[in-house]
Amino acid sequence: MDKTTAGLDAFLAISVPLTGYSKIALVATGMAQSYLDAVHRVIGTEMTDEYLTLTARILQQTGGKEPALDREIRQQLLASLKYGPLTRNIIQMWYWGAWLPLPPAWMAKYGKGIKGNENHFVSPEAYQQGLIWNAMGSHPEGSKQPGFASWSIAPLS
Amino acid sequence: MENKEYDVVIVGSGIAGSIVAKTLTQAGKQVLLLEAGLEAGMAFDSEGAYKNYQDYLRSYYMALAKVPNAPYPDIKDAESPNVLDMTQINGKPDTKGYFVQNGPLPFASDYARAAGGTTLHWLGTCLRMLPNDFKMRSKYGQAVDWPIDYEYLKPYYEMAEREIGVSSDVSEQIYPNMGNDFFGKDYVFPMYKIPQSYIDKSFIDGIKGLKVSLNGDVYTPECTSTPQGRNSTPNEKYRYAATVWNKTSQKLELKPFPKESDVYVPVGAIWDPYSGQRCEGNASCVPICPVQAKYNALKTLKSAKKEHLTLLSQAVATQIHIDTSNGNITGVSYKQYPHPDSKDYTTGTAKGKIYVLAANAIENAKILLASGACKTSDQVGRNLMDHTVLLTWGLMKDKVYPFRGPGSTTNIPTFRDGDFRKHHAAWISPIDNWGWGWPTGSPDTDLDHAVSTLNLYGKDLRTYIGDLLSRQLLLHFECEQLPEKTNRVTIDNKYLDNIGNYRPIINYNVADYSLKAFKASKTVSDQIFAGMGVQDYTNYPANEPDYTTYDGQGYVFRGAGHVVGTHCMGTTEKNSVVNRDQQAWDHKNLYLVGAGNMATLGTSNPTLTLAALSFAAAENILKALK
Amino acid sequence: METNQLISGVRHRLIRSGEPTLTEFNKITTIEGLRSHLQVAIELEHSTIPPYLFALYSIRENTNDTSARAIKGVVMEEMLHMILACNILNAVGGTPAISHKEFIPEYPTYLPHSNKAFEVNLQKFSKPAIETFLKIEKPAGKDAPPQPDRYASIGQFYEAIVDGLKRLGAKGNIFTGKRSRQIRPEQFYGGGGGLIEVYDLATAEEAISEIVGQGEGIDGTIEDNNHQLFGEELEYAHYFRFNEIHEERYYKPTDTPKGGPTGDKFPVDWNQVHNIKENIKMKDFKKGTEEWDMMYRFNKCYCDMLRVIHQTVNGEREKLEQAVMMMYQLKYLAQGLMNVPMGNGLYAAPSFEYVV
Repeated sequence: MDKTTAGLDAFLAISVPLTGYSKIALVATGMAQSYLDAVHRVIGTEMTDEYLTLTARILQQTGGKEPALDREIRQQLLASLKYGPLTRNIIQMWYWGAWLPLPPAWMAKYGKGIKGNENHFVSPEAYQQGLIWNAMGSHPEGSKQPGFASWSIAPLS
Repeated sequence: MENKEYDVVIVGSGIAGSIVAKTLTQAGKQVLLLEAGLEAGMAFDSEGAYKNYQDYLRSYYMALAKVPNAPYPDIKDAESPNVLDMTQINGKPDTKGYFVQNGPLPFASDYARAAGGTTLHWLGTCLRMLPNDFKMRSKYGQAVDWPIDYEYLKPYYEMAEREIGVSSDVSEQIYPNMGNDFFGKDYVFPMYKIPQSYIDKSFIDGIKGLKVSLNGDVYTPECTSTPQGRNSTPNEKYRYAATVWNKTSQKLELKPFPKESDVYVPVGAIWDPYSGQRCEGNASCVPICPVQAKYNALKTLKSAKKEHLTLLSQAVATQIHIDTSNGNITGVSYKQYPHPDSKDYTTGTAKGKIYVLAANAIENAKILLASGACKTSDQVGRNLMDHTVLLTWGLMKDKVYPFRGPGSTTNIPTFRDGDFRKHHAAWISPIDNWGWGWPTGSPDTDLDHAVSTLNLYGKDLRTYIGDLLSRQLLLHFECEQLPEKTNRVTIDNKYLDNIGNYRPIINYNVADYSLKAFKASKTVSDQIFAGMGVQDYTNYPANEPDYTTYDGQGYVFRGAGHVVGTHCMGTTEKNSVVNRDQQAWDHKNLYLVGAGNMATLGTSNPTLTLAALSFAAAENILKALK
Repeated sequence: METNQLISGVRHRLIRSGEPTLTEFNKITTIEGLRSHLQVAIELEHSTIPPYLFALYSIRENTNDTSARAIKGVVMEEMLHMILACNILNAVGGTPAISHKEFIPEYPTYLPHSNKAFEVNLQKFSKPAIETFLKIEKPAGKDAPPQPDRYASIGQFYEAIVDGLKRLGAKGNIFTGKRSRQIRPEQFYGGGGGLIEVYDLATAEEAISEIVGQGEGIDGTIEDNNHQLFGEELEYAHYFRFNEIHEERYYKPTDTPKGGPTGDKFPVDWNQVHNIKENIKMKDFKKGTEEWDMMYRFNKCYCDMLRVIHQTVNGEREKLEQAVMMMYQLKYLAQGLMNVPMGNGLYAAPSFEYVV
């Protein structure tokens, strides 16, 4: 297994508990690689690898089981000054398709010289593949239209 | 082209200009149409049109703020106003955007300077004005009466409803004081109504039997399906094939289908007649319908008689020339830019027997002011109006699944007319299908709140989003604004655009007549929410651009995108810019078309009315040409 | 001016691959025979839809727009033909059956009741796929006789049905079906051609003409022919639309069927295609895996759609709206599948199998 695939697998593996969606649902968006690329692009290879090593360890140590997994995700990722903002960005990227600017305090401490941290949609496809629409029983506005009169009944799925 | 004299020169390819161009060319007249927007937007071959529209769509997907102008090219040489440029005005003019906003409140609406005009991003609501809307002075002692009435416009409304392709059921269209013959015997719309949304059904059920008090009177709010310019199931009883010029009677007429078995065929996308034959529920009508099931003026322009039509794009009309001996217009000067942001341009003058300005109310005023035209009444640029929209929002008890379907499919017409208009503005209340998107930026603001503030992730996040966003309800109270002399567009050499054309300077405020309606409509909203068990989340922060107070309460209103007034129609050359024929009082061969002609606003979205007026104008021009 | 044979107004939508294998004419002589042949017609029209959809879905988003539009147009018309065949069957007192297991062919397959001259596969958008489509849609010679079974062309098959309608109609009224079972013209949209209510011989013949390709006109909204500015929107018959893709060249109005297209280059990018597995089956995945589950969900949606269409053509015509919504859903499910890797650079795809 080459390094790129390993990175992608680790990224997908932690994205499952972070998003609350199954691995196949994430794969089906076709966006996993470009989200990982976006992370790489902004924070660089070193920090990305460091982050994915940590997330892999969390998954391994907890065996992916609750409540241990929740505790570790909260304590090691969300509560971390370094990894918290990054983790929240990854979650929002899956849900909304856009990269959110990492906060100034984070940038000052960990992000010297970082480029591309401004708010932007990863790609037109990223907007259309946001998980938020599915979560709310809708579809991306302006895409994946459900057909005439669909709005007059409850969502099909 | 330089030396050619056309029958008619039209400025602007929005719905007004396109209707006039189509009607005149089909009657055999030679027309030159100038459009300020990009050449690419004028592609009518299927590949070019499709490609250009896909570019619009890609811009929309990538835009962080999906505002009305988000999909369309931001051209320095023919700039469009953008609602994102709006800020509070503190003492000095706000010059950040295209508008120079003098205040005291910022004018909150935009328009699109592109082929097809603002119909590219309109919502598509197609309500006729009510009979009393034309008689505000004699009925309610407010503003002015129009020089024409509802009866005059009625046949043109029918033409407009055919041209746009309006979907509605006549039997459900019941408005206050509409009279006995509002639609005429046996009238049907081209298509059946657009199905009402799941939210609408829940709302209609929830509000059943509720009585609300207002100014001491008791009202029962009624809900009705909204007529819309988007494709639905054709009504087999609809019998009109086209609007045609009858040379003998010197009138425009709706021509019936030749055969009994003929039916109305919904007009699809300009690149594929089979795309968009029904609304597919993209839920993005504003700013862009991906399949063009929603009407836009390119559909009308495409059906013009093209051997009689010359199109000139990237050509910004700057000035009309006046023969001082008789007041006649002798030409329109324009600047044509080679690239969207280039500093250089070429100039030209277009010549015709008759000239038509159809460049949007604010742009028309700009051109007239720059030309020193229509000066007698001193009304050019004045009486700028919009619907000031008060929003109220909350959470329904049950999941109603917003963010689906057209922007609005049902409205409450109860407060569109009544004696209260002696004291405060009337309003219409559309029920919104797109959650809290407009006031709060949902859904992504909700997501950010959930992740960053509520510290949710994973399945809990998914559940939270699923619950919150599926219960969002939004009501509009679109309040009529009356014509005010001081709400106006002016120009000044200090404020020029990239190629030296004037930028509109806007003075704008909201009078007590509207503010009282904010208070009144909020009272109605409170009663509706309480009566239905809606959790009210409405709030009006004092730092919003259009924050205002009345009677000790703060309100935030928003623009409806209804840019109206600026060259009003009236009874004399002293009180108005155009006469009842939409001909400039001061210049016999100049016609002004569009919402700028409207003397008052009423509670209808203005596009249908301006489209009807444009058919009337086209008829008058054909009569004048002989 | 002579009519241009390429334009759908006079198009022939016939299958002919190799020489006709039968020369004798097996007549339809009983009402039961007529109904069962109309049921075959429905199956026949349906059988082309999965391969066309499979190829259509495989085209990457925002690429090959012109090809995608052409294939989509053909799919929409095949669906129209299927509903037209249901209307005829309902008109003669039959009951269309379209939600049973045998209704969906197992790909690769021969076209139902054809002379088995070629097989149809579920293939991604590619030259071989378009070649198969060309075989399906190839116009037949003028002399091909009516042929109700083991036909070489769909035209022969439908001519046999017309013959049967006339013969049986001469003996007494065969149009005994309830009008309320007919799908109405205003219910169809999104493609060329029109839906026809069938209640007598004339309307039945009209419906069959629509299926075999007569009666479609040129879009009427364009009154002029300056295609520099406004473009021409002529609709070609299915075969010629596919041939434009195959030859990567547009037809010109002056081109002849024999001469092939000689117009502008028709842009095709054969590489902008998902590398999905041909004739994929659910059993390519282990039951119970998330991947299998996704395959199942597509098929469930597909079969549910057929069930709703079945109800639609059996007295509940208002349900068509619901079936259309499911059609949109199918596309999105297929797009999801095509992101699921199967190894060797291949990706999953919809398998169009019967599930409950």
